[in-house]
Amino acid sequence: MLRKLIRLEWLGFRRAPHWGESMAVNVIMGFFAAYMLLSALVLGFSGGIILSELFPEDNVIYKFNGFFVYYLVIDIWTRFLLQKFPSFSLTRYLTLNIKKSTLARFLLTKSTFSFFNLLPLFVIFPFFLTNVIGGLGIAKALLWLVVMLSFVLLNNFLCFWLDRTINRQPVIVFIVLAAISGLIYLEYSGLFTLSDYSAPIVTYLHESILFVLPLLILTGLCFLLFKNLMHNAYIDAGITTKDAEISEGVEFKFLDKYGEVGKWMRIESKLIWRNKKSRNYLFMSFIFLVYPFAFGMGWVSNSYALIVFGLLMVGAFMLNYGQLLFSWNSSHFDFIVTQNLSLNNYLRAKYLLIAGSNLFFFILSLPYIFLEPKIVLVNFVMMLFNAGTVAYVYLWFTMNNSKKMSLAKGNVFSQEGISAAHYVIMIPIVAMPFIVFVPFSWYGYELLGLIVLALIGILGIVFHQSIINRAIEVFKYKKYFLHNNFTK
Amino acid sequence: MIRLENITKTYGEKVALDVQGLSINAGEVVGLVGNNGAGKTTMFSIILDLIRPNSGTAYSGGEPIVGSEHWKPYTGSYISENFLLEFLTPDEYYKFISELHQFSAGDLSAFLDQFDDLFNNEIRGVRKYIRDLSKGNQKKTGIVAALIGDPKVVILDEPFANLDPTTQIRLKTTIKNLKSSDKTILISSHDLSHVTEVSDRIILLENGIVIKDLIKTEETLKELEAYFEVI
Repeated sequence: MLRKLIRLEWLGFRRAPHWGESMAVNVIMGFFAAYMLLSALVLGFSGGIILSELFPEDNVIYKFNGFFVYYLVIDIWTRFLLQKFPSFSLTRYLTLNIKKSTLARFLLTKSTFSFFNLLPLFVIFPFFLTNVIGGLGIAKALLWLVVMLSFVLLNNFLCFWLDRTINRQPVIVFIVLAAISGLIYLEYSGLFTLSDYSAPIVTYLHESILFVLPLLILTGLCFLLFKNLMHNAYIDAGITTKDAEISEGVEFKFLDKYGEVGKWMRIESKLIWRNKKSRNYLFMSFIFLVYPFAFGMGWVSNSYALIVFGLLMVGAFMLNYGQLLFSWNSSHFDFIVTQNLSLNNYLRAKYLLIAGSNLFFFILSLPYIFLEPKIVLVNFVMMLFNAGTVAYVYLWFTMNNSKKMSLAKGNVFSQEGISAAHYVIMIPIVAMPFIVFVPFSWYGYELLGLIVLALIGILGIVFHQSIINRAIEVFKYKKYFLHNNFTK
Repeated sequence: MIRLENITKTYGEKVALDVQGLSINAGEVVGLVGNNGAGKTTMFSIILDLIRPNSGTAYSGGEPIVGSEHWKPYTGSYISENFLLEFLTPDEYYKFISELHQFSAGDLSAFLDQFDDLFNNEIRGVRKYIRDLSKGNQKKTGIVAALIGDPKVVILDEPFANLDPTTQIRLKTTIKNLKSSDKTILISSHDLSHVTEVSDRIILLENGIVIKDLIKTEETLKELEAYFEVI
């Protein structure tokens, strides 16, 4: 049965309408993946030598155990942002002669086939072969391996579980976020060094009977997930009559003052707030506000890093939401093009929404002024640049993106996650400000470079109506193509 | 009001629509019948500028439709669920559409009151998103939305399908009441008796071609039934 399901999943993937279009992205991602696996392999084989050179007095395995925890923390961060957990539209399988437990087990098994579980193996196994077997003897070394692999799988299922629950409780996103940010802060401020504690704990785990502890937690977590999947295997699992009442608190009434444009912005804001996928995109954007900390504190003094993070920080929502700018309306596209809503107002509302999100996130990033005023300066420049250039890139190119999306799928089995491909597409966008900035910074005129970036942005904002007028002309022809694909 | 001149629409080899000349006058209620794939929805989509014909021109109010927005203020339509904003409650949805037509809240309320029979207390004031309504109630929501703003042209694709018998009968009354005002109404349907009952004129499509164009008489329903029996 599992094999049949896997085959169906593969057919679904292979026959997806956009399979061909995403080939280029797949190739780039394959390249990145190969690079990272190779780096991991090198790290795994040379890990023992590096550690014994850095800490000649300490035991190599002991140190490795300590540092492995940092990997696990960064791993949770990255999985949180990138890992796509398995899901499939269950409705069509529910009435077939397949046990629900089989479906749930299938999803659990499938989640382990992930790059994020493969990558650590490329560090753990070489280190196991080169250092642990020799250091501990084969029997104890195997226990070490069990503990390490349990930790990797624990991360996998923990994130899977969070993935299923954050949709209902955004609070959890912020708790995870705050916990990890707090940990990083303590580490850098020197108040608390995680590896001092983790090294003895992990070492104790694999040297005693307690090696079963991670295994037990892992089993418990799997059971929890299994229950969750079984419990939600009903087509009405996502539907509650309370939905409307809950969301009515968030009305975006202030937008009504700005005429028809504001009215559509209000409708689209409701769309974002009331649909799981778009709301996840919004919460993801908040994570970008603090994501730079995952890379330590070095970025604060590096202009290039400031620009990248500035662009991502203030533009997070635009970069995420904007990629599917018209797809968000795929299920009601006909409404938009036949109702008494002019294309001018529709496209202007779209532009103002993504451009305006930059201002919103810029304001949220203001507290960085206490850390380093330059961050706020660069963020301000990037806000102007994003609103005056990047926003148009999205407005223009997403007219060719006819990926149909189902907003209404409330069923937890059909969550469409955010995959790494989603972020790969951002690379050319991130390159844009550098084309302008790098020549200035090479000759030492960094401030001038920033001013030029800001001016380009201001020009784009000032001439927004004429740029949108051009976009309308393009949209008039693209709308047939979009209608055709959205109604397929 | 609506005119199709030498319209052809093909998908590869297959002809979806081939209409040499078709005029629909203001005030007419036109029923469009034909089997699946006859070109009914294609014709509506061309009139709503959702599909661009391969050749020919469609006119609304005397002006070409392609690439123009002049028809939007006076055209109300409901073809499929793609015409609903599924993440709004029906009340929010109606309010938004009425704002697009510069209706006041009072006007809207008075307008919607006349459909209370049709709504059967399952649409207005319901604290549910449109996406959580049943298929039939979604359809009712959309059909009434198409009538907001006193449109001169109303286009409804398969309005009777998916509705319960009581609602079908009430919907027929609603359409007949509309007829008295000066509106052009286009309805497609697989239900020959319903569509013949409400229409002044019946157009029969087959493989994209107009086979019959009849002014409704006592005999029309029998004629249509006879046609579809032998085909």
